Amino acid sequence: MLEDNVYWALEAIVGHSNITRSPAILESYAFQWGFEIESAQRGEEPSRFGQRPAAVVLPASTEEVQAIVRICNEHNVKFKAISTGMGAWAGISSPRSILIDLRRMNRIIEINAKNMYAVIEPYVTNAELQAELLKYGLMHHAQGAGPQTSPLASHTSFAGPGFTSPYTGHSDRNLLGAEWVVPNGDILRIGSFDQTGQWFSGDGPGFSLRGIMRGWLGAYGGLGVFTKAAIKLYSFPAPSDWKWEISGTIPHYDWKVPPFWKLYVPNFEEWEQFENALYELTGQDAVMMATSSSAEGLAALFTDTKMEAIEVIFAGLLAKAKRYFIVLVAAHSEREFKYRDKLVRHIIEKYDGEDLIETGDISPRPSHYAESIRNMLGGHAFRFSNCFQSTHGGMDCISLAVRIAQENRPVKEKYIDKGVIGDDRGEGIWITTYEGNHMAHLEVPTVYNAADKESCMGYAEYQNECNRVDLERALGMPFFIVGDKIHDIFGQRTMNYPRWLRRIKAAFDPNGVSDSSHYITAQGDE
Amino acid sequence: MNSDILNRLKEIVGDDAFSRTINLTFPHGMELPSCVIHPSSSHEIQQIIKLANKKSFRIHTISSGFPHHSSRGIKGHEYIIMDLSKMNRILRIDVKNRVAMIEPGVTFELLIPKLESAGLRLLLPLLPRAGKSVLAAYLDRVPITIPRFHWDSSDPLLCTEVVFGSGDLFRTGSAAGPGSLEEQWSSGQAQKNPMGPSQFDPYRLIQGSQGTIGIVTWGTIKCESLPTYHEVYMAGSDTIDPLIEFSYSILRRRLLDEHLLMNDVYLSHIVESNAYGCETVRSSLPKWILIAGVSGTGPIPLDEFEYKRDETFELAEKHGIELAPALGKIHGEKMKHLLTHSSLKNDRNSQSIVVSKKIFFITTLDQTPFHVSKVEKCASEYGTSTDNLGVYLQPIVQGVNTHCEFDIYYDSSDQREVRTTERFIVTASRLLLDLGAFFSRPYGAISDMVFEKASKSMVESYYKVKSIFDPNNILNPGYLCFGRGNQ
Repeated sequence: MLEDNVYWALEAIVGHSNITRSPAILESYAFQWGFEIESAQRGEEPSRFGQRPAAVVLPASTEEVQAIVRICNEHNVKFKAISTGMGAWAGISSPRSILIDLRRMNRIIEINAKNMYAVIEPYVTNAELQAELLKYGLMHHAQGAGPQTSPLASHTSFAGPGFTSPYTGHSDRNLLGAEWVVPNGDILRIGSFDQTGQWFSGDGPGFSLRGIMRGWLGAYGGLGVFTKAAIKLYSFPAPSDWKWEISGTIPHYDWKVPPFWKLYVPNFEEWEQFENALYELTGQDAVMMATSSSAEGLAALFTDTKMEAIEVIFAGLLAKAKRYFIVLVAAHSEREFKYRDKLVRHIIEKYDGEDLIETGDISPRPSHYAESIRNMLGGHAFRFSNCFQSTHGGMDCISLAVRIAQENRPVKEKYIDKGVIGDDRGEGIWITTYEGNHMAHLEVPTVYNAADKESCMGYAEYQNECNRVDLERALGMPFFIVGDKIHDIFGQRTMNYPRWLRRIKAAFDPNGVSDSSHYITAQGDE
Repeated sequence: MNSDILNRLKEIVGDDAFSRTINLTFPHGMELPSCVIHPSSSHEIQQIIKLANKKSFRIHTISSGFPHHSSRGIKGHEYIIMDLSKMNRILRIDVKNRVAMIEPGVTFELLIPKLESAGLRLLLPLLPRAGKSVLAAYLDRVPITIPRFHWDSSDPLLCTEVVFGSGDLFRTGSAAGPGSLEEQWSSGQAQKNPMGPSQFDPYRLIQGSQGTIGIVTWGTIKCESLPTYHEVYMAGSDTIDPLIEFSYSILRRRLLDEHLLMNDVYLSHIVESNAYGCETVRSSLPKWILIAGVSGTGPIPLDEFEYKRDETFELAEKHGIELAPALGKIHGEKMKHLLTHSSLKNDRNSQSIVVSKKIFFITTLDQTPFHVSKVEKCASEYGTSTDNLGVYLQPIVQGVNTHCEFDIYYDSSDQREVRTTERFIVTASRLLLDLGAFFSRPYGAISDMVFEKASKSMVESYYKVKSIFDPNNILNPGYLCFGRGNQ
């Protein structure tokens, strides 16, 4: 509960219509995908309902956010900001906390087409930004969470893979600057904006304050509120007279594929061929997408319904798909396409592979091309059980990704045998490369039944075991290593990094008001 | 400095790596250090930093000569020079993952041929000094000449091992772990992911810090495959605008390797070392020059080279730009050599009396003509001929922004010219700062101007970061906004 005077002070900032403590509305904010796993990991009854916030406020400007944060400091109220807010990390962890819902801050501030950057507010979605950028023949790095989610959230605060990562990289490395209300209420404008009023660079003078704001994983909203972000843009490979045209009805809609775009599914017998082929192809900065999964995953990606996916799986894909990756070549011109097409074919042949599209084992439709670049394919993973989550996540290079896949299989099979997670024969993985192939990561999407207690508990146990495997066998840092307890466990074999993170937290959040449940506290887990 | 401290330092590094004879060239007005030491390991560096914290002396770190012509050094404090030039091992070259792990004393002239023999190329700045530390250059975010490989301003620096000013050893990025480096290698890793560990990016705090946060003891560097085919073309124009428009269209496509623009003065000075040679070359050139490298690598390299070359020429033609393998008296082969090698000419022991001072900052490419016109006007007010004003424009971060550099050439034997040049640089820098130039790598007097202009919250944040990693202000006091050793 908040004292009335605190509530009224917040109301005075945002206005009567933009604040609430109505229990029904608060309860809706307490409902999140992933809470059921976090509660299970804490040894509690799995539930999608988390902590109910004491109030929800909807500011319209940076100044209003700043005023809210100052009130929180003054009255010892914790806060967390959300934009499109998808996942357990969008929730708060203690009763004396408010949620700052940034949905009113939804403007695209600037598209600098020449210099290829955009400045956005928190509630701009990937879909909205993409639609505007297409007018300039541009695209951005949209995270795998989908077109309905906030690119600002991903670029400033969260791990940032996407289906187009070979071409557009990772969220952390696409950020050019940010406007940031730090937990004590100060406003920081990182990079060139502070000096010049322009957003073209996020680093300096001297060192870069991007170093404290997010890291590889993102601070998950544990270190203040980001109110603007400048992000890099990329050329959308289509002729200037090509238009985005959709017809039909979801899920069977049609899309006008740009000329010089083509999907391939190179499939190989063994990991060694797969690894060599993936290295060689993605090393050329010639593909928009290079991603890998299981036979089940491939069927889910390139079909429109669950039944259709199951039919495709048993029609032969299960037997045929071994070690494959999906490649999207998206070229600007015929000349460029011819080179890239020849490159893909050359590599398939060199490593004794075959293209599962050419053999007719899988047939992506035009809509799947659109979903590739809209990052909607990830949503297909929800199709089998209405729920999935990922374990592992180690990010370095392709060799590591392959190793994690191999180490994961027997672990996953154990939980499949227990009947608590979806049966993908332990093969279900997702690999993507970044920046050509200068980096790669693997995660293991795993379906479970969110309505079933045993399944939630079983998935939680599987995730914990995967974390232990990653830690003991040096397989990189997994996703979701957040919060004091698990930070301290991983810190023991990772240069004791939590001590530095805690010092940053203490310096920039002296009153500990920015919710630390998915970040770290200054004091540790007492 | 207290003899106990000196003896302890000698004990840590050994007699051979300790010297009280100062053989380095120091910037004018800088106080001399108490000694120079050459540590050989991160363990020694840790011991030295811990001693500095305990005994309150300062450390100025160098790896290949004095850090910068504008360095002011340390005043009012006892300090030592920690020279890392003897930590010069190439620890690992991983061809498959295109990465090299090197110590800070590894120089461009050492690393370039080693990588070439492994089939790799280093992403080079323009004509780096042969004896320059590779890590020092990348830690300072010196721009590279191939914008398409410059995804983030931090490239090509990846992971590092660092001893913070507190004396703590740390590894950044995926090198942090879990596990030792040996365990990481055996699980297939190559220290390629610079981000993290976890929820912060310490490499971004070390890079650009001018040695004020920690001392890097090794780093991994992103490399690229050595091209099978590689040609360099040039185009000229009497005005810069057409070259800029063409640059924008081609930067989007990531077709080119080397991509840089410069004026005739700058180009003539990098290809020739004497006044007559410079003038001969310059008179053969148009006012502005674009340099474009095209390459082919990988399994079908000729196909890649030919398509990129043809696309490039087609785009150039659309913009009315004539790309050619030679321009004036400069052939593309010569340019290719310059772009793929380090420079002996720019070495510190150069005896030339015609030298240059630089002004450099970041802006966007479309704003560079404005900055150039302002600097030219300012130069004329100081009586500095535009014949002595070199301009180098380097698109970086895949074309999102541009490193803009002015080189002012002057006769170092003429004291009047030296003083005029110095005054001009201060005035022009102030003017540029006011006009929106972003001095992201500020040194000396420019650093003061930049931090005077910075917001209070920004400067306070810098002090917070400094207090976390170097709480006693041991490392390089006097750099950035960190005063001159008295915080």
